[in-house]
Amino acid sequence: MSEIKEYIYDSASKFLKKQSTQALLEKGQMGLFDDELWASVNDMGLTGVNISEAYGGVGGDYEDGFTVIKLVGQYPIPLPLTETLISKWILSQYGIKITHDQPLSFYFNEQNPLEVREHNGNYILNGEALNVPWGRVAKEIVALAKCQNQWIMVLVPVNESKIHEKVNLAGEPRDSLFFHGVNIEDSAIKIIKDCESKKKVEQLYALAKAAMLTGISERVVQECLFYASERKQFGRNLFRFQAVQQHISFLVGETAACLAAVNNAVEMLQGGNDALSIMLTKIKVSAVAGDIAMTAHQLHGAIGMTYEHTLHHLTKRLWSWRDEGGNERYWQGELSTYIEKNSGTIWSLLVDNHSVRSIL
Amino acid sequence: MVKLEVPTVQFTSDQQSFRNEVRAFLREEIQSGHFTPACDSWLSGESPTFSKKLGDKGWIGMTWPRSYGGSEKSAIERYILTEELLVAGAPVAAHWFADRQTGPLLLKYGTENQKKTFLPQITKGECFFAIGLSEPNAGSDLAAIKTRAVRTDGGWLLNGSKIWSSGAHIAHYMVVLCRTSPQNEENRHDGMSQLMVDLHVNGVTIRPITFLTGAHHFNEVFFENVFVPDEHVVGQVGNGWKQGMAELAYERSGPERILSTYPLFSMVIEELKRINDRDGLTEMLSLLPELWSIRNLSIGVAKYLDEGKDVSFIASLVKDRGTTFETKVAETVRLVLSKHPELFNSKSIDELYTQSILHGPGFTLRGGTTEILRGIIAKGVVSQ
Repeated sequence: MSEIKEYIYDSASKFLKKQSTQALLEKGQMGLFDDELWASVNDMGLTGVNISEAYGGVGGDYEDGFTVIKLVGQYPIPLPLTETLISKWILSQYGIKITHDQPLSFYFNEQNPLEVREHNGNYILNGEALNVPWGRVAKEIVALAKCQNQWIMVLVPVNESKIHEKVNLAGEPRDSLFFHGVNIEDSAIKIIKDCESKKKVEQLYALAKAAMLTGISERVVQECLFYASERKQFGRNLFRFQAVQQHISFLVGETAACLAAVNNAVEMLQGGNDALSIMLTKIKVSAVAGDIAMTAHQLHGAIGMTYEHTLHHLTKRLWSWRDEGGNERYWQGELSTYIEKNSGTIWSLLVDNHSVRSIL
Repeated sequence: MVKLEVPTVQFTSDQQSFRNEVRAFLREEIQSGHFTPACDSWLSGESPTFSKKLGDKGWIGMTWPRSYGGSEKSAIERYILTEELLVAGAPVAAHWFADRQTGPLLLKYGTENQKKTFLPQITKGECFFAIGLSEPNAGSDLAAIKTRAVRTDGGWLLNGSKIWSSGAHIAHYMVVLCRTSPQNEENRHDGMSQLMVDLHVNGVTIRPITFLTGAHHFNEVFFENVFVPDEHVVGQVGNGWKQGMAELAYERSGPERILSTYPLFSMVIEELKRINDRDGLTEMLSLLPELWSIRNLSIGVAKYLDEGKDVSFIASLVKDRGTTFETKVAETVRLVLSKHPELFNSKSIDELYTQSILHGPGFTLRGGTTEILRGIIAKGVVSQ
């Protein structure tokens, strides 16, 4: 664990807690992007965590990075912080330095990659990048593409695309970008040698979403505890009722289990042994997100269903984020493939201290 | 924000070597026919011979001081051992409670003489303990216990009874929670004490209670004017409730609250891989993320306990979530393999399936019912 973790945690949590107001979330729900807030986030160095100073970052490791990402779940702000971080992590690992402070995003879809053709020494990009988080505000996206049967990673300027705007339930942009005959510079293209690397962004995004979902579940628990201790019916606080205690216990138990999964997966990612733990974590967290949302609403009664109340800003994110970075059906398929491919008992795969190298 | 995080644990290569050593020993034991893997073996698999073997290896009370027969290993090593024993379905019931609860209780509250007398015997696998908490009229409401001890020359006279005492018929001693002062309605937890009772003295009667499978591991134990010498009082007279509750943290957060049906889970997955049933495999594996997350939680609690931290409601939470996983295993196998459960089975997979169903009701009852645990969790988290 790096030394800056505590510092990041303290300053970022204070900052995000202060910023993540009802008013800001309502702006986010309308799909608005706050330039000034983005500038503050940059100034704090939050977009440079786990990136070396040589690449314009502030240093740290994956644990630090995911600490920030989890906080963005606890105190949501409508900004592409997670997306920018993941993009920069990948770019710096491929030796590409970003010199501006604008948001970044990514599109890594093995089933539907972009396409790059070489024509008289020029590289021409075509294709559609679907569901790109914060696509419209990103200056560039990191994308997986194919070039003459070769997998490549390409840094694509967004202003060259036609944008079809869409938003998730919380109003966060999930845009489709259409590229037609876009010229790409040589320096923006990197060949992916290791066939596993094309899964790396997908895995980082899955773990990031799991961390954010877990962060927001912690926040949901907080809201529920507050309500159950304040609200009285039949002359007693709600938490005194056994039926309500069942709800609280479920929320607390599942959130604690998700935290344990995410924290261990992040530690294993840092240690370079990540594939299985990320799958398991994303499945676990996505599978329970809907129940956490519904239980929280049940506990809050009718007031929790109003636009005025904070709860819907949290539950809409639970209902959206569980499907982002691969839903549990998708990861269950990957998990089965992983178990079929790897020899050894399931117990050994799960608990043994494997010296499997990271895929990056 | 309420703190729900527990520490993460990554195993060292030495710890991995220890795991491999345990695993090799268990493989050898199974191959030599010394035991047949079973589900829920920590409650119903009694084998004093097997316990003795573990004792010889230094694998009972392994975290305890050397001066009392232990090996001074960490809680993480003990966690590894426990997991491997349960995953193999080994018959560990005989020494289970002494290793898990009585030892730590004596180390914390026992006299020097008690530690010197009992702990080395426990670590050798020669002295077994039973738990004496529930009574016929005090189940979930444990503070309602009526068994009482009154002062007599050099000790106490014990009268009353304990119920659901697993393994009392093979145990040498029982730690009995009893009243040593009359019940105080103002504070129901006052006036209780813990006594170590020799189960072979005059006045003790042990009657089997047959489990729904027809097997015998439960007992009802009666005490009629049983003399318990002063030197067998554990800790302070009157402090029994607090001492007993501290034990429960160990009881509720261990791997046995997650892995009771693991032998079935594992065998079914290997079978599905063998017959290339991809859909079945995917369905069965949908339980793996549960196991992964709860196990991480449970190890985190073990680390907290080792550091002497208060785990309060998180231990209860492990049991609540873990037993849910244990129950889901049999339910998933039922559909994946289209099983009709039978009483007498020739194939081990069928036998494990039957055990998992029939032992299922116990998972969410023993060691604190799910309802009680959820109350503890809710009140614990609200008061934080």
